[in-house]
Amino acid sequence: MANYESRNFSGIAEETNYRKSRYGMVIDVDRCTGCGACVVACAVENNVAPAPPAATDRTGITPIRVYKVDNGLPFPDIRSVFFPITCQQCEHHTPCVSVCPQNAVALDESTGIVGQIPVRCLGCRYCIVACPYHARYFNWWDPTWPAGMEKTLNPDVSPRMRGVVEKCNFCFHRLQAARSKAAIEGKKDIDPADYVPACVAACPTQAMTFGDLLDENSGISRLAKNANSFRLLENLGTEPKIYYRSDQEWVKRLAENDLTEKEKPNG
Amino acid sequence: MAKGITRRDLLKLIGGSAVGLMLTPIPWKVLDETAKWSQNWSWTPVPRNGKVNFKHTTCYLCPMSCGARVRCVEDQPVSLMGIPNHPISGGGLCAIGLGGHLLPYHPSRLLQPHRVARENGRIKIVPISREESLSAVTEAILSSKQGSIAILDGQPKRAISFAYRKFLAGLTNGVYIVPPIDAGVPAELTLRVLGERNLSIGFDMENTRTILSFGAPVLDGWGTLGQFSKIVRNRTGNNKLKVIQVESIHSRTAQLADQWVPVKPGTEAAFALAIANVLINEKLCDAQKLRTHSTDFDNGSGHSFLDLAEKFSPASVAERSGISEDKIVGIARELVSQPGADASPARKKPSLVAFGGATFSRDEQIIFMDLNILLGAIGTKGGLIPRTELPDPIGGRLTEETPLTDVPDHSVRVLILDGAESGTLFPWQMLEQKFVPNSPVVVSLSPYFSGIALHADYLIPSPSYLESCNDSPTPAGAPTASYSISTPILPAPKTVVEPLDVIRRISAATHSNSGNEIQPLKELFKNRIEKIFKQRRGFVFDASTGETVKLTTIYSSGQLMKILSDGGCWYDKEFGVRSSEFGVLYSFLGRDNHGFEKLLAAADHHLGDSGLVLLPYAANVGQSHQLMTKVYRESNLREPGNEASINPETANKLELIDGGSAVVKTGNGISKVKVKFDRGIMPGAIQVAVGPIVTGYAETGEQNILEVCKISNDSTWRITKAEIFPA
Repeated sequence: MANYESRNFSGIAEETNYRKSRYGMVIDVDRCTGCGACVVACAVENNVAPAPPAATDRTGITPIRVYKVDNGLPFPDIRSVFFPITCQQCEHHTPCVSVCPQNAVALDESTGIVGQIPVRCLGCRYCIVACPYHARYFNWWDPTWPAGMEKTLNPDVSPRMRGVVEKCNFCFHRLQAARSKAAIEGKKDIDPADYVPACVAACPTQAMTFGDLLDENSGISRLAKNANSFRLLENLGTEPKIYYRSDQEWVKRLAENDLTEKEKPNG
Repeated sequence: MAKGITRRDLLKLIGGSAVGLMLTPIPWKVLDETAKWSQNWSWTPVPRNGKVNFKHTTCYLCPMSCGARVRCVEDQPVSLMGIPNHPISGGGLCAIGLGGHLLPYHPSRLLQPHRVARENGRIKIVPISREESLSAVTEAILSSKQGSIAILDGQPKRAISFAYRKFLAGLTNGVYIVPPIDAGVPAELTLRVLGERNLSIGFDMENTRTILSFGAPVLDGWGTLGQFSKIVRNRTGNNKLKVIQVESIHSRTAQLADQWVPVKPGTEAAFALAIANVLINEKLCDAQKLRTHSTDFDNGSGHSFLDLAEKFSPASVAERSGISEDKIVGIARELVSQPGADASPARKKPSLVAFGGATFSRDEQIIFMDLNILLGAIGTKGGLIPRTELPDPIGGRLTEETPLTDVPDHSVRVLILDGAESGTLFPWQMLEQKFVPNSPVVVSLSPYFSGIALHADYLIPSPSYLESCNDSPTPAGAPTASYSISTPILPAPKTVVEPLDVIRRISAATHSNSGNEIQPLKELFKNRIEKIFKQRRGFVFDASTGETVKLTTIYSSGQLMKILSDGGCWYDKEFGVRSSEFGVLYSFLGRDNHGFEKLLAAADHHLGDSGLVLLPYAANVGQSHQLMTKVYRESNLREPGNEASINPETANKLELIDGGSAVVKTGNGISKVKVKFDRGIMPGAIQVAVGPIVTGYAETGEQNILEVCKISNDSTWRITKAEIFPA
């Protein structure tokens, strides 16, 4: 596990002497049952506070959020899938990085992880506006837990303060822990099994696959190149590192935002 | 030239300084620092540091018995995850299980006994001492001889369940009530099929070719987590398992299924008989074998199952179910087809029929089971397989299990709610109608003031999950028997009371088991484990090593006890019970062949096309759990209990607006709802999720759509005639 010095929520590596990686994820939407294990695992791992009653769908914090979308056809031809959306870890012209006036968002060159540094964040929320995937959340309230529950906080991650933006950082503290373990064992590279984000580890149907996209031998590399894999809004040219996979043609067309008039989604 | 500083110079200085200051970092830094000062407060919690260690236990928040790996900082659990290679859960945990370590601190948690006072529709809970609460319950039990003393056990077959049954056996009027089960086959139906009381039926879904599911959530919460997750994972390639979901509701399994058959509400049994009709008329079942093995398949008496099936031709059922004749015939043929014409007998896989038990009547369940018999799915790999029950941990006389539906109305005077989650949601009216008219007393042993505990008169909280020792018997519907123990990780507050201690205290006070004392829980576990050890069969999973060994390699029952106490699991071998096709002469029409008219009526149960119907929708336990966090709600995965989904076509006719307020009215009352347009909902239906209104983390809202649902004469509540008006 991570040491306490690594307790951060930044997702920015302090050194760059690691082998260059491009961490990414492939989510098989045909396997997603909408159980919500990823959502809860993420909240527990990253010390996301329970939202107050006044919170809405947009003001609550869910670094990974599962949407239900459908093919837009009427009953009984309607078909739907669950679509987990998290930070898409854009590689190219990363919109949130471009607009941040505080350098509170940065693309880590060694891993490709887009990190958020809460202590630098001014709370201007330009990044929220710029993100085409609605994957960023603003802390509208002080992080508070019901009495006693603060004892259950994960010691590897600091709660974020009110007034800053946060998002998924692929559980960067787990990468730091894996690196520490590798260093102790005298290895230069981490064991891929030691670095798996909480949502991926929690998925009971293994709908999510995580790994280094640059590693030609990795499962994720093969899955990302599969003919049925696709990315959201590829036409924006942001080169997201989250891939989705489905055997259903309408799902793929939905991701391209290219549905025919007859097939407008509900979700 | 005049010298000196003029007012203009001063203005220039001020203006220049202001502009110049903007070019320095000072204002920006001040702005930044101000933001930080106003954001960081002493009350923001700091995670506790300490030595990290891992422990293993078994989750008992529902009957699925998942293995849980607990990450602790010193002695404090900070996260839970599945145990890799766990034979029951397959390494997974559900959403509620992953947040299980938060539940001891849930705002609905009770830390001492309370008396509930209801005045003018308001509920007030008054703290009382442990002695006061136990005395009140004892007094209620001793106060009168009229009416029965009942315990509703959310998770039967646990060691404590036997203690309850022993306690009740010591009373003259004790009744042990078991709730309806969602997964698996009810005991009475199992007895009819297998002819033995100590056997259960499991669904071997992993080896099935096609599952015809009548409302069973086979892909998102049925049997065990490991079982249905594996099915979802393996649904690839040409030889994949096919799921046909017959359900009026666009449920999650309907969404994930290969084929969704949205029958009109109430026509499921007719649809099943139409499938049977095709199988019989097209000679797609082994009629000779069925004649041999049943009393009423084709006996020419006028009460033959053939006569019943003949009344449900695909053409006639097509009209009432809304599913075309071609589709019905196609599904029947699909169930008996095999991939490749030359599939060898060894490679042939059967199809099976699964059904969401709690939502169907007993007669409807018989019809679904009849279809399994026709398909040859009983006692076959990939079908419905018999499995042994776990050995009893306690000797002596025990009260029999009574299904909730069999408890006579107006008969229960004192009801003790065990507090364990059954995984099945049912209306409170189901229990309420069982009470005697005058002053019944309801006692909740739940650690929380939520769910059905909201209806209790006395609250005697038990320790929460991770604070209490418990055992997990075989999950309903699992293909093999299993046993594991949940070891406490946290100390329980001294002010809460173990349910067994409550029972032992009451037993002593009422002298109901004099000379025959109920043993402590650990003794009961030990007795059971010794009996399992003596059977010398099955396998043992050791959570600390992740390895599975044969039970025969374990040298003592003490060693087995230790492995199970450390989050391990015992499970029986596949086909632990030798079985012929089915154990006894099967009666398709029910006991003594007298069920012809009853089954006919059950299959004819159709509400007609006029009017709206309310369909309560119970997602799996994680999604509808009273204690689930708001974090989960915000993911749009959990539909709140005050949101009515309705087809836009129907809604427009009723002048409802998407997102607008409305009132759902049934014969049992009204429910205020928010309208949500959803094209997946059948026209003419209103679908409302079962569960509380989500108002925040402390969600204990009492409104639950089940409270306005009508309980039919057949004890089902899945369809209620309703109206909806804009509010």
